[in-house]
Amino acid sequence: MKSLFYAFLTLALVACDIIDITPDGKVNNPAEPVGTLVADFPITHTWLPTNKIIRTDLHIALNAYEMYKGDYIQSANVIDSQQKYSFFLPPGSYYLEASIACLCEGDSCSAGGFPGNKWGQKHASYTFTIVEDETTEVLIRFLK
Amino acid sequence: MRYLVFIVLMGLTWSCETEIDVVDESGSVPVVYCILNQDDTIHSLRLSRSYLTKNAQNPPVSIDSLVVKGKVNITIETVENSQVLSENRLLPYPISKDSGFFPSDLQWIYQANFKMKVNTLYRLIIEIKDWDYVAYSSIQSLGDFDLVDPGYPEARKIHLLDDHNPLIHWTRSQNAAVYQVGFRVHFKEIRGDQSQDKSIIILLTTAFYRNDPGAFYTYSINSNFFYKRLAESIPVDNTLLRQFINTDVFVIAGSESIGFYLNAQEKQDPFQFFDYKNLINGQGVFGSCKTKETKGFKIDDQSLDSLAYGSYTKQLNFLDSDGHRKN
Repeated sequence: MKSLFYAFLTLALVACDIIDITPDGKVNNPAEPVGTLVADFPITHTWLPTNKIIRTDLHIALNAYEMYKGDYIQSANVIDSQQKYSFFLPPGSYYLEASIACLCEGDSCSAGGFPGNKWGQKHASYTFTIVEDETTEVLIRFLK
Repeated sequence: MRYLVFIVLMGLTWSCETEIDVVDESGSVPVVYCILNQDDTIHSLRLSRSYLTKNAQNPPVSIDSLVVKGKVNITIETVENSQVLSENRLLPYPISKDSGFFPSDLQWIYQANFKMKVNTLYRLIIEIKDWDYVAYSSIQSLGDFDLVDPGYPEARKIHLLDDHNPLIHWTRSQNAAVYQVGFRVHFKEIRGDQSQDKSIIILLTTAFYRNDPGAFYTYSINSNFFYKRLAESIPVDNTLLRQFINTDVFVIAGSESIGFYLNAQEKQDPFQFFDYKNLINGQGVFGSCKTKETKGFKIDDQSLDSLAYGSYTKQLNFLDSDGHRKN
């Protein structure tokens, strides 16, 4: 009976998921610290209908050179029905790149300020800083 | 009076049947599988029949036990406002069946060519002349729906990494009870100076939805799950290189009967699985399905590199975003 009790005790100890709690009561998480970037990506345009402009890209890079090369550390799958996108990043400085495309037919896109005609794209880039446990918000705008 | 008693006694004796027919042919019922593809005009039906077995353990003694012989009339009627608009006869369609569990050259498949409408009543009638038997069923065809996201493959690439899962959004299809979401991945296999284009279907989920989602249903693709499924579906072959071409995203809506059938299959409940039917005087499933697909998505460079060197798929020898393979 005693050996059965020890067997159960051993099993219970092995099966327990031990959580490391710091003296001030916080759970010690070995993951690196993160802050949040909220990229606000509205679709606005002066001369073209906004339902003919779509989000196409939203990327985060470590610096301008990496951004230029397309070596992004995170990217969002942008869609029509979502305006705000969150990124969880370690503290530091980053670059953000966003782009939109025009869906109008004929020469409306070039007349509206997009390079080329249908599928012509505009790009915008920003720098931002992430602070641990804080939220940084970037409002994305494109030149007319 | 004595004669009367004698006559009644004789009648009773003759009417008694002492032999019991354990293999009663009349006990057999048609077994039907017919899933109408609303995106196609060719519709097929498989017809067989039930046979006597003990605890579903004994295979049939001969192929004759499975095939419905003789004259069989199979019709699918289009019904609108209680009026039969059209009758579509399904005719025997010769197929060479492979060496499966029940290999046979006898007739199994019937086909018809007609275009289906959405949200319309379809009635299946199977008349087996030799048995003097009729089995029937009806379904309401599925309503139209849209695959909302991902969209615009001309301008958007899919990012398949766990920092941001891709989302699949689709609107509700009226009369649908089940949806299957998947990718069709196109890739090239390169061996020496020869290459061959290949495709593979990765089914991501089977979702049972009947409620109205308001705008659309959502499925978030777990990128690791995608790579794991891809690795399970493509054989490892160190003698070749593979190059990702693009991927199609699709959602298949299925009717109530398919939903119930798949649900029973998923639960591995043999009683529910074998008991389910939506045919009167028969066994099997009569349903319909409809597919929405957006073709030709590229995946971004980071996802291509993950496909090439990620833990699940590195053995598949996919080229990376630079078109190289580092070993």
